[in-house]
Amino acid sequence: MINSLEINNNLLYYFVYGGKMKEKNKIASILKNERESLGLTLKEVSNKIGFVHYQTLSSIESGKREIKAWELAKLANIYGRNIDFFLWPDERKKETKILWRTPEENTKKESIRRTFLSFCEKYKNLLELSGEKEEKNNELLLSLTKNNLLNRYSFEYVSKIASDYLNLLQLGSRPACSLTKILEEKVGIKTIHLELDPEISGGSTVGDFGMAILINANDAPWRRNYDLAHEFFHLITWNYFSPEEIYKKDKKGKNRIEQLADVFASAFLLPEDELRDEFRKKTEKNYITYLNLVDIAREFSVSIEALLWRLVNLDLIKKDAVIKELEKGSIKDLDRKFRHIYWEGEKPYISARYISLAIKAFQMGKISKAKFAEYAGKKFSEVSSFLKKYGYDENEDYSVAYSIT
Amino acid sequence: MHIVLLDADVIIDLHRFHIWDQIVDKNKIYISSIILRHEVYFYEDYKGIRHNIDLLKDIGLKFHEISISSEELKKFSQQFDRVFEPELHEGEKEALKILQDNNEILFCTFDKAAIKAMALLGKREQGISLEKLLKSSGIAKKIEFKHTEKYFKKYLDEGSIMRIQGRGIKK
Repeated sequence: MINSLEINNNLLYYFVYGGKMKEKNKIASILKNERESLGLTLKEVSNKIGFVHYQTLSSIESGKREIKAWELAKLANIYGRNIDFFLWPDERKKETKILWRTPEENTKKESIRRTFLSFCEKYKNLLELSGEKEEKNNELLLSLTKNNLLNRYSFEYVSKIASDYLNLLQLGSRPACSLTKILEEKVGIKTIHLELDPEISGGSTVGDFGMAILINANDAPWRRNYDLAHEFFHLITWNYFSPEEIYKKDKKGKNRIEQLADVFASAFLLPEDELRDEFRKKTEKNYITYLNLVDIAREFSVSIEALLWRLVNLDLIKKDAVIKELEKGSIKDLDRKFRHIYWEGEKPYISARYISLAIKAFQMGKISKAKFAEYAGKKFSEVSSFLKKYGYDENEDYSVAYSIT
Repeated sequence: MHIVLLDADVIIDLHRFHIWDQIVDKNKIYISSIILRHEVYFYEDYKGIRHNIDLLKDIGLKFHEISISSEELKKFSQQFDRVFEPELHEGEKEALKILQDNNEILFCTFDKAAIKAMALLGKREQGISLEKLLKSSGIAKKIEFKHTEKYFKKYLDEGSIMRIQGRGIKK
């Protein structure tokens, strides 16, 4: 939709100016499209930028008034774009699609999409700037069979894939503990945490920057782990299903691919042998207390619901009892009370690795402090205290190095 | 008296050291619009308490605002080799473009990438460290390592080496 509008405007100017569109008018037409695509009015944007009269913006958008660099920088910021998006429109890459966890359209999604993709691009730049090798993840992707993913034994097949990935990635007996780090550093999946509304729990995408996952930083740690594993499934099956297939619901209103992603996440975070072992240890005379169940969920860093359903799938507890208990809610209350403390810690900010790369690039003088602020999503004035928080001292000489024997 | 264009970190630290007024009294100060309107909002004292910096009220009184058009910004950016350039923010690009067009202006910054870029553009003679600016303004103040002439020169030299080696700037 956005692309077609841009093309129409370009054509319009082509006829008006009888040839190549003037630079000023090119920027003007993109600015107008950007504002309209976000559903913003001239007045709203004028207020944000600090124009007294909205006519100023209107003149800029119609190409009548020259746009200052500072005005373009502010507008780019408001529209969630890099300034290069307006300066070099011909070099613009194809818009990358995101597979959202919830397909429903939401007015905030376009703005979140831009922020997420912008961090993915920046992540790629930072890897290059700081001289870190981008992981080639192709050999870490197992070959799957689409037919097996869709037949009546697909749940077993997906559980087996989860188990194979656990071994391949050497995630150990408590996969959630190192999942983010392994996916980022070993598989090369860029994992971006943003503070999102509860109805948007995340998504995944594949672009020029590689594979990336968006996680809601506001969610509980165990929910984030689950979402990460769920989205990982979508990435390893990225070339097997179209978005239409993924969102398609059956007669019962259930979504087969999403169910598979849940089965995968569950088997991935709760490895069968380790879970059976832990369950056996905490069982007394054919009973397991709620407290012990909460303890197992905490141990594996998954939600109590995820644990209960995994136990049902492994035939360790009865499905009816779980449905009844989850409806009643007492085990969920107990879980919330006992794990409240684990949720009080600091929320993840973008990605620990991303921030570390940005600090490295800044320290090496590859990016300026103002550029670092942009990379870190901070105001320039906040950068010094932000760097201090991460242990970086601007006055320290970090070029001191050991010689290698 | 110098004619000086100040970078954002310099403005913030001059406020942090409470010597802003002395510097503007003794020099003709310019601030580029992006730095003025995007970057300088507050400084933090040694206790971490934030103090607002309101510069907009002093435009034309204590200093001059200077800006470039988006077309000029684009042309300026085109000089750099995208693979090797130190990645600069638009604020620094605007400041460096002003520097390129005005030989009498000096640029005061302690940003490594900005200092390097200055030398890369062959403008090292127009760079001034905060230490030197304070000295020439007759201000005695205990400064940090990043404000020193030594620090400034180190990164100017890095930029000059890149220039000699033909890295960072398109041929």
